[in-house]
Amino acid sequence: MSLPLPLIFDYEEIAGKFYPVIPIELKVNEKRFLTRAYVDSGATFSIFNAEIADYLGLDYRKGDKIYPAGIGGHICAYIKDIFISIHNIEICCEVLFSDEFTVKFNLLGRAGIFDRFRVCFDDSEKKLYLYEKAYSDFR
Amino acid sequence: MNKISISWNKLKKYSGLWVAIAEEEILASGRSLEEVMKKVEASGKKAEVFQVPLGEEAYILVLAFAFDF
Repeated sequence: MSLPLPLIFDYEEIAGKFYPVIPIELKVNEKRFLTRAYVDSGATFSIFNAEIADYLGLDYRKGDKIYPAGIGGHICAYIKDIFISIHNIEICCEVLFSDEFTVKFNLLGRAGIFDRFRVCFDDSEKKLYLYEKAYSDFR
Repeated sequence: MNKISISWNKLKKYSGLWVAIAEEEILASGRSLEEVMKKVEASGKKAEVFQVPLGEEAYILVLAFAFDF
């Protein structure tokens, strides 16, 4: 079985180090927000700053409240369903919004995204490969 | 949706701020997303908007668990 052609993204240089940061577009109703996100295979959920939810007109505090934990402790966040586009491939995802998320990266976690793509991090080449899965594979 | 390429040398002075980039240049910057998006919308350009990471931060990103207390 041959794999489909992947989407290939060069890692982004930030202060002399290279990170798998890719462009994404968030969509709520007809409002769109083009941004970039760090692809984090260790993150269960994608998480975004609450200011983005406000811009999108999303009342994120009506979402279910959860407490995602990292090595620095946990924060309060809310789950909402939104659409995320990666190179025009639109995915409905459960994501988190938090006004306690102070990291200056949007994080693109596994929920929704890693169901839709096979993800390959090539750190030596500083490239990220996303292979879109066939519809029957992720349903 | 192609990645807009912009070097860290251009971005680093905006560390911690929201920036909008279009045509590989900084279109707007500010402390709040709201003020940056007002400038973007006024320009009529399609821009990629994000917060510029703090260079000195060590990014060991782990967000593996989600507790529903």
